[in-house]
Amino acid sequence: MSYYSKPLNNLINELVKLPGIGPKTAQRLAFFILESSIENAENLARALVKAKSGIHFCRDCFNFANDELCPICQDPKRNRDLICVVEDAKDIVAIEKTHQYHGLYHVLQGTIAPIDGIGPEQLKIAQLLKRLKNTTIKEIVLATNPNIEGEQTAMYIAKLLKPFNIKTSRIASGIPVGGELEYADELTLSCALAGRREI
Amino acid sequence: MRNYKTKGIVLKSMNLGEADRIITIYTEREGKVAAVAKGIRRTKSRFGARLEVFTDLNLIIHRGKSLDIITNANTIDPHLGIVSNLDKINYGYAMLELVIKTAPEGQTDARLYQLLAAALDYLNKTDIDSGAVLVTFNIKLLAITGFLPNLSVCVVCGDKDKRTVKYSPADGGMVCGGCRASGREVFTVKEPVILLAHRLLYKHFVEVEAVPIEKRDVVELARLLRFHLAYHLNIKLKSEAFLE
Ligand SMILES: [Zn+2]
Ligand SMILES: [Zn+2]
Repeated sequence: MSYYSKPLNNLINELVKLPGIGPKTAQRLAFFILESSIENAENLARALVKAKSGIHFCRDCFNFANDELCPICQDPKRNRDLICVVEDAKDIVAIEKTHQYHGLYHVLQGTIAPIDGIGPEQLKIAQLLKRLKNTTIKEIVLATNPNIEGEQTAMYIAKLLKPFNIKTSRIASGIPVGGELEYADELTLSCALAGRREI
Repeated sequence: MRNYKTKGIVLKSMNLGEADRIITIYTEREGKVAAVAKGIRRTKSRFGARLEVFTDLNLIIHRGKSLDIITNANTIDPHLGIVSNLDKINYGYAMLELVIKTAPEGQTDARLYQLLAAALDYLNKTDIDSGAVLVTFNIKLLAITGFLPNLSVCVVCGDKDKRTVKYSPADGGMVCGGCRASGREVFTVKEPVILLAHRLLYKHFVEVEAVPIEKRDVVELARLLRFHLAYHLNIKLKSEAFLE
Protein backbone atom coordinates (compact mmCIF):
# COMPACT_ATOMS: atom_id res chain seq x y z
CA MET A 1 0.00 0.00 0.00
CA SER A 2 2.63 2.49 -1.06
CA TYR A 3 1.59 5.90 -2.32
CA TYR A 4 5.04 6.53 -3.77
CA SER A 5 6.88 5.42 -6.87
CA LYS A 6 9.43 2.70 -6.19
CA PRO A 7 12.61 4.86 -6.38
CA LEU A 8 11.07 7.38 -3.97
CA ASN A 9 10.11 4.58 -1.65
CA ASN A 10 13.69 3.25 -1.74
CA LEU A 11 15.05 6.69 -0.91
CA ILE A 12 12.72 7.04 2.07
CA ASN A 13 13.63 3.54 3.27
CA GLU A 14 17.35 4.38 3.17
CA LEU A 15 16.89 7.71 4.97
CA VAL A 16 14.78 6.20 7.72
CA LYS A 17 17.74 3.96 8.67
CA LEU A 18 19.69 7.04 9.80
CA PRO A 19 19.72 7.77 13.56
CA GLY A 20 17.14 10.29 14.69
CA ILE A 21 15.23 10.14 11.39
CA GLY A 22 11.63 8.99 11.67
CA PRO A 23 9.31 8.20 8.73
CA LYS A 24 7.96 11.77 8.63
CA THR A 25 11.40 13.38 8.54
CA ALA A 26 12.58 10.83 5.97
CA GLN A 27 9.65 11.75 3.75
CA ARG A 28 10.39 15.46 4.11
CA LEU A 29 14.08 14.95 3.27
CA ALA A 30 13.23 12.76 0.28
CA PHE A 31 10.85 15.38 -1.13
CA PHE A 32 13.45 18.08 -0.54
CA ILE A 33 16.04 16.10 -2.48
CA LEU A 34 13.60 15.43 -5.34
CA GLU A 35 12.64 19.07 -5.59
CA SER A 36 16.24 20.34 -5.61
CA SER A 37 18.54 20.30 -8.65
CA ILE A 38 20.23 17.18 -10.01
CA GLU A 39 23.63 18.76 -9.15
CA ASN A 40 22.65 18.97 -5.49
CA ALA A 41 21.61 15.34 -5.47
CA GLU A 42 24.84 14.30 -7.17
CA ASN A 43 26.93 16.35 -4.73
CA LEU A 44 25.20 14.68 -1.81
CA ALA A 45 25.67 11.20 -3.26
CA ARG A 46 29.33 11.90 -4.04
CA ALA A 47 29.99 13.34 -0.58
CA LEU A 48 28.48 10.23 1.04
CA VAL A 49 30.55 7.79 -1.01
CA LYS A 50 33.73 9.84 -0.67
CA ALA A 51 33.38 10.14 3.11
CA LYS A 52 32.72 6.46 3.49
CA SER A 53 35.50 5.21 1.20
CA GLY A 54 38.13 7.86 1.96
CA ILE A 55 37.95 7.96 5.74
CA HIS A 56 39.39 5.32 8.01
CA PHE A 57 40.72 5.17 11.56
CA CYS A 58 43.84 7.01 12.69
CA ARG A 59 46.80 4.63 13.16
CA ASP A 60 47.53 5.94 16.66
CA CYS A 61 44.32 7.19 18.24
CA PHE A 62 41.47 5.57 16.21
CA ASN A 63 39.81 8.91 15.53
CA PHE A 64 38.51 9.31 11.98
CA ALA A 65 41.30 10.23 9.56
CA ASN A 66 41.81 10.64 5.86
CA ASP A 67 45.57 10.16 6.10
CA GLU A 68 47.42 7.58 8.13
CA LEU A 69 47.15 9.92 11.11
CA CYS A 70 44.19 12.10 12.09
CA PRO A 71 44.54 15.93 12.03
CA ILE A 72 45.03 16.03 15.81
CA CYS A 73 47.84 13.46 15.88
CA GLN A 74 49.47 15.32 12.96
CA ASP A 75 49.26 18.73 14.62
CA PRO A 76 52.75 19.71 15.92
CA LYS A 77 51.19 22.17 18.38
CA ARG A 78 49.42 19.46 20.40
CA ASN A 79 50.84 18.53 23.79
CA ARG A 80 52.26 15.01 23.43
CA ASP A 81 52.49 14.43 27.20
CA LEU A 82 48.75 13.92 27.53
CA ILE A 83 46.28 11.37 26.21
CA CYS A 84 42.57 11.79 26.75
CA VAL A 85 40.71 8.47 26.46
CA VAL A 86 37.16 8.72 25.05
CA GLU A 87 34.47 6.24 24.05
CA ASP A 88 33.62 7.67 20.68
CA ALA A 89 35.07 10.03 18.06
CA LYS A 90 32.05 12.31 18.67
CA ASP A 91 33.37 12.90 22.20
CA ILE A 92 36.56 14.44 20.72
CA VAL A 93 34.43 17.09 19.04
CA ALA A 94 32.69 17.87 22.34
CA ILE A 95 35.99 18.24 24.21
CA GLU A 96 37.64 20.26 21.41
CA LYS A 97 34.80 22.76 21.60
CA THR A 98 35.85 23.64 25.16
CA HIS A 99 39.28 24.88 23.88
CA GLN A 100 40.64 23.74 27.25
CA TYR A 101 42.43 20.57 26.23
CA HIS A 102 45.48 20.54 23.98
CA GLY A 103 46.76 16.99 24.31
CA LEU A 104 46.19 13.88 22.21
CA TYR A 105 43.26 11.47 22.25
CA HIS A 106 42.55 7.78 22.20
CA VAL A 107 39.18 6.49 20.96
CA LEU A 108 38.11 3.18 22.55
CA GLN A 109 35.22 2.71 20.09
CA GLY A 110 32.78 1.65 22.79
CA THR A 111 32.60 0.56 26.43
CA ILE A 112 32.71 -2.70 28.29
CA ALA A 113 29.17 -4.15 28.24
CA PRO A 114 29.06 -7.66 29.74
CA ILE A 115 25.39 -8.27 28.89
CA ASP A 116 26.09 -7.55 25.22
CA GLY A 117 29.25 -9.65 25.38
CA ILE A 118 31.50 -6.64 24.74
CA GLY A 119 34.75 -7.07 26.62
CA PRO A 120 38.08 -5.24 26.71
CA GLU A 121 39.33 -7.21 23.67
CA GLN A 122 36.66 -5.65 21.47
CA LEU A 123 37.81 -2.15 22.44
CA LYS A 124 41.02 -0.35 21.52
CA ILE A 125 42.52 -0.91 24.97
CA ALA A 126 45.49 -3.08 23.98
CA GLN A 127 46.33 -0.40 21.39
CA LEU A 128 46.32 2.24 24.15
CA LEU A 129 48.79 0.22 26.23
CA LYS A 130 50.97 -0.26 23.16
CA ARG A 131 51.04 3.51 22.65
CA LEU A 132 52.47 3.95 26.14
CA LYS A 133 55.59 1.96 25.37
CA ASN A 134 58.51 4.15 24.27
CA THR A 135 56.65 7.44 24.56
CA THR A 136 56.86 10.53 26.70
CA ILE A 137 53.26 10.31 27.90
CA LYS A 138 52.98 11.81 31.39
CA GLU A 139 49.24 11.70 32.02
CA ILE A 140 46.19 9.74 30.89
CA VAL A 141 42.81 11.43 31.28
CA LEU A 142 39.96 8.93 31.35
CA ALA A 143 36.98 10.70 29.78
CA THR A 144 34.53 7.86 29.20
CA ASN A 145 30.91 8.77 29.94
CA PRO A 146 30.02 9.12 33.63
CA ASN A 147 27.51 6.26 33.54
CA ILE A 148 27.89 2.71 34.86
CA GLU A 149 29.40 1.33 31.62
CA GLY A 150 31.80 4.25 31.19
CA GLU A 151 32.79 4.09 34.85
CA GLN A 152 33.48 0.37 34.71
CA THR A 153 35.60 0.85 31.58
CA ALA A 154 37.57 3.68 33.24
CA MET A 155 38.17 1.60 36.38
CA TYR A 156 39.34 -1.31 34.26
CA ILE A 157 41.79 0.80 32.26
CA ALA A 158 43.06 2.50 35.43
CA LYS A 159 43.88 -0.94 36.82
CA LEU A 160 45.82 -1.86 33.68
CA LEU A 161 47.72 1.45 33.80
CA LYS A 162 49.00 0.94 37.37
CA PRO A 163 52.23 -0.86 36.35
CA PHE A 164 53.09 1.91 33.87
CA ASN A 165 53.47 4.46 36.68
CA ILE A 166 51.81 7.16 34.61
CA LYS A 167 49.58 9.75 36.27
CA THR A 168 45.99 8.68 35.56
CA SER A 169 43.03 10.94 36.11
CA ARG A 170 39.27 10.66 35.69
CA ILE A 171 37.15 13.58 34.49
CA ALA A 172 35.07 15.03 37.32
CA SER A 173 31.39 14.19 37.47
CA GLY A 174 28.61 15.49 39.66
CA ILE A 175 26.13 18.32 39.69
CA PRO A 176 25.95 19.98 36.25
CA VAL A 177 26.96 23.64 36.29
CA GLY A 178 23.78 25.68 36.56
CA GLY A 179 21.96 22.78 38.23
CA GLU A 180 20.64 22.55 41.77
CA LEU A 181 21.53 20.13 44.58
CA GLU A 182 17.91 19.64 45.52
CA TYR A 183 17.18 17.94 42.21
CA ALA A 184 20.31 15.79 42.06
CA ASP A 185 19.96 12.04 42.45
CA GLU A 186 21.93 10.02 45.03
CA LEU A 187 24.46 8.59 42.56
CA THR A 188 25.26 11.99 41.06
CA LEU A 189 25.49 13.61 44.47
CA SER A 190 27.82 10.95 45.84
CA CYS A 191 30.07 11.37 42.77
CA ALA A 192 30.08 15.11 43.39
CA LEU A 193 31.07 14.58 47.04
CA ALA A 194 33.74 12.02 46.19
CA GLY A 195 35.21 14.39 43.59
CA ARG A 196 35.18 17.50 45.80
CA ARG A 197 38.20 19.81 45.53
CA GLU A 198 39.94 22.32 47.74
CA ILE A 199 39.23 25.97 47.03
CA MET B 1 -5.56 3.53 34.41
CA ARG B 2 -3.04 5.08 32.02
CA ASN B 3 -0.38 5.43 34.75
CA TYR B 4 0.92 2.88 37.18
CA LYS B 5 3.20 3.08 40.19
CA THR B 6 5.69 0.34 40.90
CA LYS B 7 9.07 -0.52 42.31
CA GLY B 8 11.61 -1.74 39.78
CA ILE B 9 15.25 -2.53 39.09
CA VAL B 10 17.02 -1.28 35.95
CA LEU B 11 18.35 -4.23 33.94
CA LYS B 12 19.51 -2.60 30.73
CA SER B 13 19.45 0.66 28.86
CA MET B 14 19.68 1.39 25.16
CA ASN B 15 20.01 4.70 23.36
CA LEU B 16 17.01 5.82 21.36
CA GLY B 17 17.03 8.74 18.92
CA GLU B 18 18.85 11.94 19.86
CA ALA B 19 18.51 12.13 23.62
CA ASP B 20 16.25 9.31 24.82
CA ARG B 21 16.84 5.83 26.14
CA ILE B 22 14.80 2.65 26.31
CA ILE B 23 15.15 1.32 29.84
CA THR B 24 14.47 -2.35 30.57
CA ILE B 25 13.22 -2.71 34.13
CA TYR B 26 12.05 -5.63 36.21
CA THR B 27 9.07 -4.18 38.02
CA GLU B 28 7.24 -5.56 41.01
CA ARG B 29 3.79 -4.89 39.52
CA GLU B 30 4.15 -5.52 35.80
CA GLY B 31 7.13 -7.86 35.40
CA LYS B 32 9.69 -7.04 32.75
CA VAL B 33 8.95 -3.68 31.16
CA ALA B 34 10.71 -1.67 28.45
CA ALA B 35 9.94 2.02 28.85
CA VAL B 36 11.25 5.23 27.31
CA ALA B 37 13.06 7.84 29.40
CA LYS B 38 12.74 11.04 27.39
CA GLY B 39 15.67 13.44 27.26
CA ILE B 40 17.69 11.34 29.72
CA ARG B 41 20.97 11.71 27.83
CA ARG B 42 21.00 15.48 28.21
CA THR B 43 23.29 16.54 31.08
CA LYS B 44 20.50 18.44 32.78
CA SER B 45 17.87 15.73 32.50
CA ARG B 46 15.70 15.54 35.61
CA PHE B 47 16.35 11.79 35.66
CA GLY B 48 20.09 12.31 36.30
CA ALA B 49 21.66 8.95 37.10
CA ARG B 50 18.44 7.52 38.54
CA LEU B 51 17.91 5.12 35.65
CA GLU B 52 21.41 3.65 35.54
CA VAL B 53 21.63 -0.16 35.56
CA PHE B 54 21.49 -1.82 39.01
CA THR B 55 19.34 0.98 40.47
CA ASP B 56 16.35 -0.05 42.56
CA LEU B 57 13.66 2.63 42.37
CA ASN B 58 10.09 3.78 42.73
CA LEU B 59 8.58 4.55 39.34
CA ILE B 60 5.55 6.06 37.75
CA ILE B 61 5.07 4.72 34.23
CA HIS B 62 2.63 5.93 31.63
CA ARG B 63 1.15 3.28 29.36
CA GLY B 64 1.81 4.54 25.87
CA LYS B 65 0.31 3.33 22.58
CA SER B 66 3.48 1.58 21.45
CA LEU B 67 6.05 2.07 24.21
CA ASP B 68 5.52 2.92 27.88
CA ILE B 69 7.02 6.19 29.13
CA ILE B 70 8.72 6.76 32.47
CA THR B 71 7.23 9.89 33.99
CA ASN B 72 8.75 9.73 37.46
CA ALA B 73 11.72 7.98 39.06
CA ASN B 74 12.87 8.01 42.69
CA THR B 75 15.91 6.09 43.85
CA ILE B 76 15.61 3.43 46.55
CA ASP B 77 19.23 2.25 46.19
CA PRO B 78 21.78 2.87 43.40
CA HIS B 79 23.89 -0.07 44.68
CA LEU B 80 27.09 1.95 44.72
CA GLY B 81 28.99 -0.92 46.32
CA ILE B 82 28.43 -2.99 43.18
CA VAL B 83 29.01 -0.42 40.48
CA SER B 84 32.19 0.91 42.05
CA ASN B 85 33.79 -2.52 42.38
CA LEU B 86 35.33 -4.15 39.28
CA ASP B 87 34.85 -7.66 40.65
CA LYS B 88 31.31 -7.32 42.01
CA ILE B 89 29.94 -5.50 38.97
CA ASN B 90 30.49 -8.46 36.66
CA TYR B 91 28.66 -10.82 39.05
CA GLY B 92 25.90 -8.23 39.24
CA TYR B 93 25.67 -8.14 35.45
CA ALA B 94 25.30 -11.93 35.38
CA MET B 95 22.29 -11.58 37.75
CA LEU B 96 20.70 -8.91 35.54
CA GLU B 97 21.25 -11.01 32.43
CA LEU B 98 19.71 -14.07 34.12
CA VAL B 99 16.57 -12.04 34.82
CA ILE B 100 16.50 -10.58 31.30
CA LYS B 101 16.73 -14.05 29.79
CA THR B 102 14.58 -16.14 32.15
CA ALA B 103 11.76 -13.73 33.03
CA PRO B 104 8.83 -14.61 30.77
CA GLU B 105 7.48 -11.73 28.65
CA GLY B 106 4.20 -10.27 29.83
CA GLN B 107 4.17 -12.21 33.10
CA THR B 108 4.40 -10.66 36.53
CA ASP B 109 6.09 -12.28 39.47
CA ALA B 110 6.66 -9.97 42.42
CA ARG B 111 8.88 -12.64 44.01
CA LEU B 112 11.34 -12.23 41.15
CA TYR B 113 11.61 -8.49 41.84
CA GLN B 114 12.06 -9.17 45.55
CA LEU B 115 14.70 -11.82 44.88
CA LEU B 116 16.72 -9.55 42.60
CA ALA B 117 16.46 -6.65 45.06
CA ALA B 118 17.59 -8.87 47.95
CA ALA B 119 20.49 -10.33 45.91
CA LEU B 120 21.73 -6.91 44.78
CA ASP B 121 21.38 -5.45 48.28
CA TYR B 122 23.44 -8.31 49.63
CA LEU B 123 26.11 -8.23 46.90
CA ASN B 124 26.29 -4.47 47.48
CA LYS B 125 27.31 -4.87 51.12
CA THR B 126 28.96 -8.25 51.58
CA ASP B 127 32.61 -9.22 51.59
CA ILE B 128 31.96 -12.91 50.90
CA ASP B 129 32.88 -14.43 47.54
CA SER B 130 30.70 -12.85 44.84
CA GLY B 131 30.51 -16.25 43.12
CA ALA B 132 28.59 -17.65 46.11
CA VAL B 133 26.11 -14.76 45.96
CA LEU B 134 25.56 -15.33 42.24
CA VAL B 135 25.05 -19.07 42.60
CA THR B 136 22.60 -18.51 45.48
CA PHE B 137 20.67 -16.06 43.33
CA ASN B 138 20.76 -18.45 40.39
CA ILE B 139 19.35 -21.40 42.31
CA LYS B 140 16.59 -19.30 43.90
CA LEU B 141 15.71 -17.83 40.52
CA LEU B 142 15.34 -21.31 39.02
CA ALA B 143 13.11 -22.28 41.93
CA ILE B 144 10.82 -19.29 41.32
CA THR B 145 10.65 -19.76 37.56
CA GLY B 146 10.07 -23.51 37.95
CA PHE B 147 13.23 -24.67 36.23
CA LEU B 148 15.13 -25.93 39.27
CA PRO B 149 16.80 -29.29 38.62
CA ASN B 150 15.46 -31.97 40.93
CA LEU B 151 18.37 -32.73 43.23
CA SER B 152 16.62 -34.75 45.97
CA VAL B 153 15.13 -37.83 44.33
CA CYS B 154 15.65 -39.81 41.17
CA VAL B 155 13.64 -37.87 38.61
CA VAL B 156 12.85 -41.00 36.60
CA CYS B 157 11.51 -43.42 39.23
CA GLY B 158 11.19 -41.11 42.26
CA ASP B 159 13.44 -43.33 44.34
CA LYS B 160 15.40 -41.56 47.03
CA ASP B 161 18.81 -43.16 46.59
CA LYS B 162 21.35 -41.45 48.81
CA ARG B 163 24.31 -42.42 46.68
CA THR B 164 22.84 -40.95 43.53
CA VAL B 165 25.37 -38.45 42.31
CA LYS B 166 24.61 -38.58 38.61
CA TYR B 167 22.90 -35.63 36.98
CA SER B 168 21.07 -36.22 33.71
CA PRO B 169 20.48 -33.01 31.74
CA ALA B 170 17.80 -34.63 29.57
CA ASP B 171 15.79 -35.67 32.64
CA GLY B 172 16.35 -32.38 34.42
CA GLY B 173 17.80 -33.83 37.62
CA MET B 174 19.48 -36.68 39.41
CA VAL B 175 18.99 -40.29 38.29
CA CYS B 176 19.53 -43.45 40.34
CA GLY B 177 21.65 -46.50 39.52
CA GLY B 178 18.74 -48.49 38.03
CA CYS B 179 17.53 -45.78 35.69
CA ARG B 180 21.06 -44.89 34.70
CA ALA B 181 21.41 -48.32 33.09
CA SER B 182 18.94 -47.41 30.39
CA GLY B 183 21.61 -45.55 28.51
CA ARG B 184 21.01 -41.97 29.65
CA GLU B 185 23.76 -39.42 29.32
CA VAL B 186 24.82 -38.37 32.82
CA PHE B 187 27.63 -36.64 34.64
CA THR B 188 28.80 -36.88 38.21
CA VAL B 189 28.02 -34.22 40.79
CA LYS B 190 29.88 -34.53 44.09
CA GLU B 191 27.74 -34.93 47.18
CA PRO B 192 28.95 -31.70 48.89
CA VAL B 193 27.79 -29.77 45.82
CA ILE B 194 24.26 -31.17 46.12
CA LEU B 195 24.28 -30.41 49.82
CA LEU B 196 25.41 -26.87 49.15
CA ALA B 197 22.59 -26.41 46.64
CA HIS B 198 20.03 -27.43 49.28
CA ARG B 199 21.55 -25.16 51.91
CA LEU B 200 21.62 -22.12 49.65
CA LEU B 201 18.11 -22.68 48.33
CA TYR B 202 16.43 -22.38 51.72
CA LYS B 203 18.55 -19.61 53.22
CA HIS B 204 18.03 -15.86 53.07
CA PHE B 205 20.98 -14.01 51.56
CA VAL B 206 22.02 -12.65 54.95
CA GLU B 207 22.23 -16.21 56.25
CA VAL B 208 24.50 -17.34 53.42
CA GLU B 209 27.49 -15.93 55.25
CA ALA B 210 27.03 -18.58 57.95
CA VAL B 211 27.01 -21.47 55.42
CA PRO B 212 30.40 -23.18 55.22
CA ILE B 213 31.27 -22.72 51.56
CA GLU B 214 34.10 -24.31 49.63
CA LYS B 215 35.08 -22.29 46.60
CA ARG B 216 35.39 -25.39 44.41
CA ASP B 217 31.84 -26.52 45.32
CA VAL B 218 30.52 -23.10 44.33
CA VAL B 219 32.32 -23.35 41.00
CA GLU B 220 30.92 -26.82 40.35
CA LEU B 221 27.37 -25.89 41.36
CA ALA B 222 27.57 -22.84 39.08
CA ARG B 223 28.69 -25.14 36.26
CA LEU B 224 25.78 -27.52 36.88
CA LEU B 225 23.22 -24.70 36.83
CA ARG B 226 24.80 -23.23 33.70
CA PHE B 227 24.51 -26.58 31.99
CA HIS B 228 20.90 -26.94 33.12
CA LEU B 229 19.99 -23.46 31.82
CA ALA B 230 21.64 -24.12 28.48
CA TYR B 231 19.90 -27.49 28.09
CA HIS B 232 16.38 -26.59 29.21
CA LEU B 233 16.02 -22.91 28.40
CA ASN B 234 18.62 -22.66 25.67
CA ILE B 235 20.15 -19.81 27.61
CA LYS B 236 23.80 -18.92 27.42
CA LEU B 237 24.90 -15.91 29.43
CA LYS B 238 27.19 -13.48 27.62
CA SER B 239 28.24 -11.88 30.90
CA GLU B 240 29.65 -15.18 32.14
CA ALA B 241 32.83 -14.72 30.11
CA PHE B 242 33.63 -11.79 32.42
CA LEU B 243 33.64 -13.73 35.67
CA GLU B 244 36.90 -14.68 37.45
ZN1 LIG C 1 44.96 10.34 15.74
ZN1 LIG D 1 15.48 -44.16 39.28
